[in-house]
Amino acid sequence: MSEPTQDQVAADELDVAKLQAIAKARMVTVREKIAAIKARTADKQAVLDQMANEHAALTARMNALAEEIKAVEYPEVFELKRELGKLARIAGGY
Amino acid sequence: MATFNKLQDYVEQLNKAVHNWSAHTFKAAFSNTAPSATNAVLADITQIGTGGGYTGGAGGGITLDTVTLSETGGTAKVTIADEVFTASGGSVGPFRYIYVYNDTASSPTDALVMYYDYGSSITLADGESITIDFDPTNGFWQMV
Repeated sequence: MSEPTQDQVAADELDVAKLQAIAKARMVTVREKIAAIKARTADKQAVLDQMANEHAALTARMNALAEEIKAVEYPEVFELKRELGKLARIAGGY
Repeated sequence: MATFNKLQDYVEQLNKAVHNWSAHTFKAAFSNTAPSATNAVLADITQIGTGGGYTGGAGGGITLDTVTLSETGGTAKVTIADEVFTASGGSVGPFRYIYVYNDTASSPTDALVMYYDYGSSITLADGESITIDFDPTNGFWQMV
């Protein structure tokens, strides 16, 4: 295969530049379409974000309270329940 | 030894934050009706009736204690204390399946997690017990 001439290289570079320009222009159009669609749900998204924040705060309080309960119960209740299970089997249970 | 069977909807609800293994209340419910892997909520299954100390219906079953979530090296593990149920004031059963469900979950209500299959039906006479034996080493359930 022969080496490309200077004219051919210049022509290829011109094509690449054109392709990049077309792609950049299309990117602007696609971004505008995305923004237009998302604008239709923006109010609902804001409410959802607020609810998610409230949910996260409530979950954090629940987890903290659960930790306080476990600090008292664990591991004693866990071990006592295991002992109860062994005793129940010895006593003839399923 | 009862076999562990995951219900399909559990993984979806887990990833929708329906289940919180640190703070929610989980219960065990008895059934004698063959399960379907697509059962999703407590209302999808047929519990045994109320009697002998067992309470059926919505929110029924036995509350599980010291449900604990831990994480080591990227593996999450849930451990649950063994639970002993003793029939009192009458017989309980027959039942073959014990489901674990989330009594705190409200959307969907009482979301199911899994069930144990004991292989054959069991009837507890008054005063007899069954132990739900949760694995203390590998945990009730792991997620890698």
